[in-house]
Amino acid sequence: MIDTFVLSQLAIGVSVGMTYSIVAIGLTLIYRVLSAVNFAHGEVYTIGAFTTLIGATALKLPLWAIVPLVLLVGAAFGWGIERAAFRPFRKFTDEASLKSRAVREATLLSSFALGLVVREILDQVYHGEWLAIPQEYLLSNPVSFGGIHLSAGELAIGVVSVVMLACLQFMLHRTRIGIAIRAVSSNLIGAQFSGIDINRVVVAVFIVGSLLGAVAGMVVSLAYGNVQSFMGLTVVIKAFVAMVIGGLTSLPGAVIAGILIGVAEATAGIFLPSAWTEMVAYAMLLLTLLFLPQGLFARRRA
Amino acid sequence: MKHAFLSSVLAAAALSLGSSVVHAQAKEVKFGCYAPMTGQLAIFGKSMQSGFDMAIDDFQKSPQSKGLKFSIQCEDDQGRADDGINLARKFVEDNSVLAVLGSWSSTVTLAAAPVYNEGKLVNITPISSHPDVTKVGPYVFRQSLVQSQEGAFNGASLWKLGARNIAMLGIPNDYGKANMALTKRSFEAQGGKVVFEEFVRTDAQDFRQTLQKAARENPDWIYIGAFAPQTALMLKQLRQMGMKTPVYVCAADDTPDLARLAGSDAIEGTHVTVQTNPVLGPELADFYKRYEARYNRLPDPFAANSYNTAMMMMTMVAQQYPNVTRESIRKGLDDIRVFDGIFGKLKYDPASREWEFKLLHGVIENGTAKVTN
Repeated sequence: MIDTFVLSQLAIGVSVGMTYSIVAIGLTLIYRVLSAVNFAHGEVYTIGAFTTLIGATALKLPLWAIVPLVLLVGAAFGWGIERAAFRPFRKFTDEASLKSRAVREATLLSSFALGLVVREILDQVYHGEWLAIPQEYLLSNPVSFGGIHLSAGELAIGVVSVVMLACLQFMLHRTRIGIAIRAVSSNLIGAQFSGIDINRVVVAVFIVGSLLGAVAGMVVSLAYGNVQSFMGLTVVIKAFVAMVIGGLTSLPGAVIAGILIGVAEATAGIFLPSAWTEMVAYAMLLLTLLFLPQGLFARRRA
Repeated sequence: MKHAFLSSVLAAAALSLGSSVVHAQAKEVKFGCYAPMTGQLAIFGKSMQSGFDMAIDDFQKSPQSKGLKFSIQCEDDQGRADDGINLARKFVEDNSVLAVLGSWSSTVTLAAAPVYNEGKLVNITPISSHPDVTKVGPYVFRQSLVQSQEGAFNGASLWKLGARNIAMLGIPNDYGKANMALTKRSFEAQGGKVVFEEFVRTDAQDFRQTLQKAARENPDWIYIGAFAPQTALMLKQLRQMGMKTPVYVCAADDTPDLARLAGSDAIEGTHVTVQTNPVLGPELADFYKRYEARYNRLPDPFAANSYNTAMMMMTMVAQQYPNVTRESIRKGLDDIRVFDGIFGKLKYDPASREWEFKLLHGVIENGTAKVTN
């Protein structure tokens, strides 16, 4: 018999896991096309949260006006990341160079460095302070059912993740640019010979991926209420773990793996002091790499 | 060649050691300071700097200053022990620095203090309250409350409020560990029982799992020994989960930042140990008024303590002038018995090397603590 205590602990796990999933979506999309990890994605998430904060405090915008602002800033930042940390390493457009190990490693480091630069700038401007989103913007109303207490913000995180995933699947399968993205990701040379502009597709991937990352930052900051310059760091590492466990290129896989990590952390937290649960995700990563190197939801190579 | 260079360096060092540290002609006095100016604890480092800046301006206007020009050079330790140690080495080597104030976090002060002690440069912290700070050595001082003092007060206060079975949540750094252990010791000595105890991560956003585990043990009170960023999130999430258990928070949370981060609704009715409050005396009430006029926000205990300590240090230098050295500062701090500042006449006990701060119990109303006793 599962009591309410265990159920609500698991519910918290699902809702925390959703925050990993929502960030993992953008990270996985970029990996799928370029086979490269964009470690600046954590800062995209942070930028989304800071844009929300600035929109709510300095600009005093209503919530409906903050959403397009976050989308715009996220897209612009994604474009910037591609220009600064990825394009310079794509001098040759043959598949072997594009997906070569050297380029992958270089972009891993360049995106990590870019992320650090952004974080340092935010740290200097805002002194690394915890900043609060004004109360009236927060999605903090309690929602309870069957003895389980959640907040409106957590439901929003869940809903937004599902909507994001659905929109992305629609875009990838039903729109021209989506089909181009899939073509590039499955056979780069073939796509190039069919007249697809690779650079344009890559830029589109960064814009869409970062837009989703910024929205993730917005929703999570509205749910928890606090914003800080290095908030993206922990989350991007968890999202990275979710991406690997989910099979590196599978979007639904990354979402499910994110939730699994959250639930595993919550389950461990029932038996262990909560400070110890941080290692659960990394232990899961290790186990996945050892026993299921393709991840839980690996796609067959096209 | 190498020897020639070495001996000239030694000669220069010997010369500089012999000279007085105050530049007699310019009448300039420089203190060093290490504090978290960036990173998670930056809000508190900024409070310290505000207190120092205001103290310098106030003191230089008074005739006591004898026309001396004071400065406090604040360097960023980011709340990290290794940065604190590096800054300590830098200040010890810099002969223009007369004494050093800092840090905020006990962890950093405990790491850097041995370097100051070995370098025979006075380090006085206006904030760090871990019991071991003043035990590092004769050059390490503090002018703040001590965790043993706060822990004893917290335990007694909880008992007096009717708490019998409490859940305790804290952060796993030197401050949190000492605060939790000493509060627990005092509460248990009264006959109380701790039914749940857990340390949370300072980089976490979601504390509901821990809060729920605490609630399962049916505590009649919850005690939180954490800094404002974590306490704010915990209080907010307690409200969200519909938990009505009364909460008591440590003295470090008596800061306007708690209301700023949690919103005043979430902290309404929270009990807190108060070290700085305008009701404590006319000097402090006056300080509150002037601080608010200058910075457009209320001071926290860290700004008040930093102000008071900086005033004491400047007063001492001015009294000793012109024969001020690093060593005379240490002697001055050893010999002091009472300092009359914004906390009124604060007493120093040379045996324990601690100051006797008064602690009070408060309840938060409209975002600020109202003292009850």
